[in-house]
Amino acid sequence: MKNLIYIFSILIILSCSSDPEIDTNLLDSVEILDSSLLNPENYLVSAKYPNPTEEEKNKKVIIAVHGFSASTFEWDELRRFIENRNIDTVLLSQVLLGGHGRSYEEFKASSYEDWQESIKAEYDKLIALGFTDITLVGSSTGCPLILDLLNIKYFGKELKEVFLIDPIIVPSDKMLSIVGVAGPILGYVESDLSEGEEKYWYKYRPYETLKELNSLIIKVRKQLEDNLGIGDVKMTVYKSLKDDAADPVSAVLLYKGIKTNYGKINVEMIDSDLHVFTRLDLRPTVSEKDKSNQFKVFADITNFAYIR
Amino acid sequence: MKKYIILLAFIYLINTSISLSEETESINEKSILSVGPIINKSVGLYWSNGFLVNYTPNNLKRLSYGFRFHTTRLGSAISSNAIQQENYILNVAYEFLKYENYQSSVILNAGYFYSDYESDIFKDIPNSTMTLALELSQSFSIYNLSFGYNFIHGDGSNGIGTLYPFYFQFGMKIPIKEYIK
Repeated sequence: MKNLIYIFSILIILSCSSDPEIDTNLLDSVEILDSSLLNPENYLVSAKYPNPTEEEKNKKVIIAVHGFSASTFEWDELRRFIENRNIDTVLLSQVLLGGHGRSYEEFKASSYEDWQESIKAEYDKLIALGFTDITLVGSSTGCPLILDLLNIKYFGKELKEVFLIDPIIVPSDKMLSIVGVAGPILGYVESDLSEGEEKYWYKYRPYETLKELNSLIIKVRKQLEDNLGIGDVKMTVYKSLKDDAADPVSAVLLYKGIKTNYGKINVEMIDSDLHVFTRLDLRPTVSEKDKSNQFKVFADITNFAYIR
Repeated sequence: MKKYIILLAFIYLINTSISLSEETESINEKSILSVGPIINKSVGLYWSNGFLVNYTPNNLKRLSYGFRFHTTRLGSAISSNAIQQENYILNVAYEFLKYENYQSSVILNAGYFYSDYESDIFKDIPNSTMTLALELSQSFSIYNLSFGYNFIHGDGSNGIGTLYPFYFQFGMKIPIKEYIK
């Protein structure tokens, strides 16, 4: 019996996986980069308007932050929503999180502080350029990254409003809580992507990054337990009722944990089973309800007037 | 790698200590009713505290029965925004190793879990569930340390999101009444 235990232990040690074989058609490869790295002026307001006019400075700038292992693609539909409706009162900055949209190796080596860096960088540039009205929009992991910055009062009075879409505070996959133990054995986790998504999401998630994700959400959850104050900043949380990545109970923790100068934040539970229900491109199936959910939230974010 | 070496060393120590001891086969001479505090830590989430009641009958060599209650109201939710939740558990324990000073048990738990979301906004999220868990437990005198797995836990679509699969539990079984047949 004793020998069996030793053999089993040695097998566990030997089973520690190395890195995956990466095809060149994947975002994980060095061949495919997020478009914002090649053409930042198409994605970042700070790059598009290096010398903004007074009128441009007073427009509302939306900084859109994508989720874990995703890319700027996650907010492309918001850009199209703004362009197709000629909404000229807002400007959109789609930031690419650090370590994302590059390669598996760069992702593996990145920490959540690295992911956060691009949000800080774009905000700082916009402030330096004189923009006065900033809104943050986050999806999934983008949300705890924003919340962590709100907790340290990183943003100034220019930040007026925050929208969080399917924030991950409690993961749906509870095995994330033992990533420190199981991670070194697994090495990486392969995600199940739909056709076409492999160019915009990392297919392989190194355990090091899952560990970072776990550290981030534990940190933010504790901040929420201790009261996360956001002052006068308006906040709205939208949360799918069923979600295989961010547990719906995440919304409860936000509702209880965020303190403002005006009362409780606004939380809306959305009848959807999609994670990041505002991204419909490349979904295998999209219902009318999904389209209506997306439209409503995009209209709220951009202050687009419509008859409900 | 360092943690695997520590793991191997730990396994070796346990095996050595087991081989040095001699298993006791005696039937309990008395039925014992015990109570005591418990401290529960859900791996990756909350602390919750409460109490246990345990009954060990004298006519069954290795079985005992119990009830446990623990709540985050006495743990993580004390003066914090953690979700207030309660766990009510009935259990049966089987001592698969029984030594004079310590016992190893496997425990089957079944119960009810309730989570208080405090607002109607969340009325469509499940807030109560039946629970089923399996636990490995090591007792030293009146002290008890367990590691358990909840078969029913939240996955984003079903179950309660704050019911996590793995937990540790420390308890004390203080005998308050002994019955001699």
